[in-house]
Amino acid sequence: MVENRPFLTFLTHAVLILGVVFLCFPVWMALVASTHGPEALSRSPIPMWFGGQMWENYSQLLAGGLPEAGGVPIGRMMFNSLIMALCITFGKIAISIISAYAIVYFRFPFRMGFFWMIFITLMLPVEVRILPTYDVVVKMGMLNTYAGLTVPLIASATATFLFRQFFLTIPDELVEAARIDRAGPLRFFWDILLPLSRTNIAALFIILFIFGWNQYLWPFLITSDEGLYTVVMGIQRMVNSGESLPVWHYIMGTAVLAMIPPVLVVVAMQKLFVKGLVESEK
Amino acid sequence: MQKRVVFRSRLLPYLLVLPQIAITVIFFFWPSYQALESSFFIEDAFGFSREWVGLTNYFELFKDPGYLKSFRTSLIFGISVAFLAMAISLGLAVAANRVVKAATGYRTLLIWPYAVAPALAGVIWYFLMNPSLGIVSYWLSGVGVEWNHYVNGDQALFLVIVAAAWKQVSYNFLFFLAGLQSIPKSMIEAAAIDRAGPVRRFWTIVFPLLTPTTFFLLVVNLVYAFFDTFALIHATTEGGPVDATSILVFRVYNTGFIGQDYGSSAAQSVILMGLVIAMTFVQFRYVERKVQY
Amino acid sequence: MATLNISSLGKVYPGGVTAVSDVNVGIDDGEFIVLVGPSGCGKSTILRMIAGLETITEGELQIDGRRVNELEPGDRDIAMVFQNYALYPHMSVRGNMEYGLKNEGLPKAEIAKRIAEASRTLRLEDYLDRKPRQLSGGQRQRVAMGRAIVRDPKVFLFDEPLSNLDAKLRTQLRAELKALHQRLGATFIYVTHDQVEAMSLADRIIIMNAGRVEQIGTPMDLYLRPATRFVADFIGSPAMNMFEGTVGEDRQSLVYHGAEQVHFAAELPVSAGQSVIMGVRPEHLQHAAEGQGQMDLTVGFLEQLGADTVVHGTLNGGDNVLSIRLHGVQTSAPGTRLPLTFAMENVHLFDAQNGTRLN
Repeated sequence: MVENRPFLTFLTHAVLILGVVFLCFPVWMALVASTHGPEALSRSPIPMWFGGQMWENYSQLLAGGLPEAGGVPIGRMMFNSLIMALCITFGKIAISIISAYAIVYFRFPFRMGFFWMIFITLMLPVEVRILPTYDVVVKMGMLNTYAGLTVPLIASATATFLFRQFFLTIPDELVEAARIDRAGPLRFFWDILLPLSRTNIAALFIILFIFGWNQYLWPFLITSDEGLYTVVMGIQRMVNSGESLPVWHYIMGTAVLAMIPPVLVVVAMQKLFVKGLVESEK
Repeated sequence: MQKRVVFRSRLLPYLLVLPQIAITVIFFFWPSYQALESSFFIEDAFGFSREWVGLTNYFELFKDPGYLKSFRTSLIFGISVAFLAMAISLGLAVAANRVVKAATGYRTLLIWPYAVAPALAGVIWYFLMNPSLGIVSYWLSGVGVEWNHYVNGDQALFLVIVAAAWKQVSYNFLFFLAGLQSIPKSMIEAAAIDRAGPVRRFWTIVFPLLTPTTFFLLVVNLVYAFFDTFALIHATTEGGPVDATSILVFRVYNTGFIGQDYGSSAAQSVILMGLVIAMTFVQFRYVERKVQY
Repeated sequence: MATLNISSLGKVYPGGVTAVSDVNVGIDDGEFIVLVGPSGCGKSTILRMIAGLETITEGELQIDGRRVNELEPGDRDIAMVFQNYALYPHMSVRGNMEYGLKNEGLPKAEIAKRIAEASRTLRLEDYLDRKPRQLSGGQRQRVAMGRAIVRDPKVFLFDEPLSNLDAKLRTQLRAELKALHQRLGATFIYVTHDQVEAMSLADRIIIMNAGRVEQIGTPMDLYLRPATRFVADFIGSPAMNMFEGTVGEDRQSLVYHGAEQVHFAAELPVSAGQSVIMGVRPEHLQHAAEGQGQMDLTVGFLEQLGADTVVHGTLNGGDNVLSIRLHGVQTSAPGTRLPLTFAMENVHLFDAQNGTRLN
């Protein structure tokens, strides 16, 4: 630091602590609410410290689900979310890395055409073409399937660009050395390029896992079978459950359960996550 | 930029791009084309017949006060979310950049909301501000604010703005921090030698140097607010009360799935696509300029 | 081991840019050939065409009498050492050396034997399990050579392999390379922009300029009888002194701006009045007794190198730059006029228009 002013240091920490409180407080309240029974949450002000119902609430949620919202166990929903998140993540990484490889390491007719086609997908988020995309999935008979839940989401311009950018930084001599070492295109990809991309793949994994886990609109449209509900969209049924009043201790419990996996991934792999996020957006 | 050496193979590159291109064509291009096409037709509710109506769907939209209001709502929502999320995160990033010790600790505590789904962010804030038992609305009533977003449209909009901004702070924080860290220390030191105090230094040196980051984040935040917050609104206010939080994407969905008016929904989709294309274009124009730096 | 036959070799890029044209050279078995020239002269392109990394657009390349134009790099039985080493960063030293052999499908025992041999030669035994990033520049360079040696190729190709190293290490590795060549007895083709490296390593040098071969010959050929003005200028340090002028009536002098600048002890083998460029190396000029000088140096400044002193100045105080290399420590005040002499056999004459040698 350029200078040392105690007041400035104090202010710095004050700002940071205030920020941390602003960001953490809502989740704190969700955690607290999920450990109380319905009585404690029926009159204001609600308690701000943990109650004794944590075990009951969470075991009911995970195994039995919420009767008011169809009774699908949250455990089941989380399993669906996991399948969807992993399929989307690996699907995106797989098809992006091979298409980036083709675009960088080969010359072929329509190469740039393909590149632009992938680029244009950036401009077509699912939210703006909901109905017709839904129609395509219906026509292909993919409603209420894991395939319908994941395949339409695995095209990724961002991941393709990230890999392309990374491949361009790999020195040409490495390919040349590999060619002299009798490595063909597939062997080069498998033996050299893929191991070198490890860090990028890991960083991308985090971002894409979160993207996949947090999908809402798409599973909401594609699944009418309750056995396929994912947890992030499933919570909606509990909040807007029609006539009955929302059961907040269960809803908050579900919210907590739904955010644990992605939050854990971010916190555990913080360094990779930051690198992946800042680089994939360049 | 191109590789000097390339592999020679006739078929392989096509096989490699095939999966990506197939998915792109089937699930991106074809539906987008469908949207464009059906925006020129009026279809009956059962899908048995349809009639070419040219631009009628578009004219109808712009005559519809509900749609125009939705435009206004989106604009207020988008700008408020972007401003709020960026202002808070810039403050935090500047502070975090000053801290040497405990920097990682603060960072961990500040970045995790990135992983929280917008829908969950919405639901949690919905709970906090619940008129009858939310802790925040309880505090608000303590200072004389009557809070009820079930009835009061402005309050409902405020609620979704806060929830959306809350979720986006982490993302902006990381980019601002990265931007701040890339400013050479020597430049700050030179300004200090030129007798600029910390506040002056920030506004005359740091903030201008952050412009590329700020601009990038502005576009990203607007895109986020316009499109990714569908879940947040759908899981909480469902556009209400009386369309007070019905932003454009929400309306596309509502007109199409609930109202079954495909032509109008398609026209709205096309308008939104135009919006995304414009924003992406702006963003990449700026990226190109950044490259020249 | 192998012979190479390069005939009418050329490279024209799709855009129509000619990088190399009409290269003809036969390379003997076990020869150490150095391709040298300024950057962009096409020397690397030739090497890469030999390697198979660039397609040959004109002419033919034969290795051991067999046309290899269309062969993949892996099938040409060559090995290459790159300027930036191009080691696979995620593989150990051993992994780097055995990768090509594995791809070739050699038996494990044979691979192990070759790696043991090469790592002993290059003193890499202790580093076999390290990753490239854990090695110093010189060690990395040796791994790159090891990767070439284990393949036991017909031809070794080197693309400026020493230019990423510091000066001291470069000299040391140069000696090792020379020794390696003698031990392996293989054909080496080596690209560099450094004429000292070329002179000290090569059996024969191919000197290139603007995509064309200027001269092919032994280092001494190039030093003593440069075929063109370009070669004369490129080889030798400090560079050869060159003066432009016309041959005097007596064919024993060089006239410039109407005044006699240089006097020769014998008649020049060119006609009077012809425009020429006369060259003489700094080390071939001697200090003469007063009145005995064939030209005068007006001293500008001195470069004391210890063993030698290089005196920089101008020819007769005019605008022609002139330098001489004198033995031992010398002193001379700026502005002093030094009379100089030289032997006739050290005079190089070039055509002023096209730069070809005239004597």
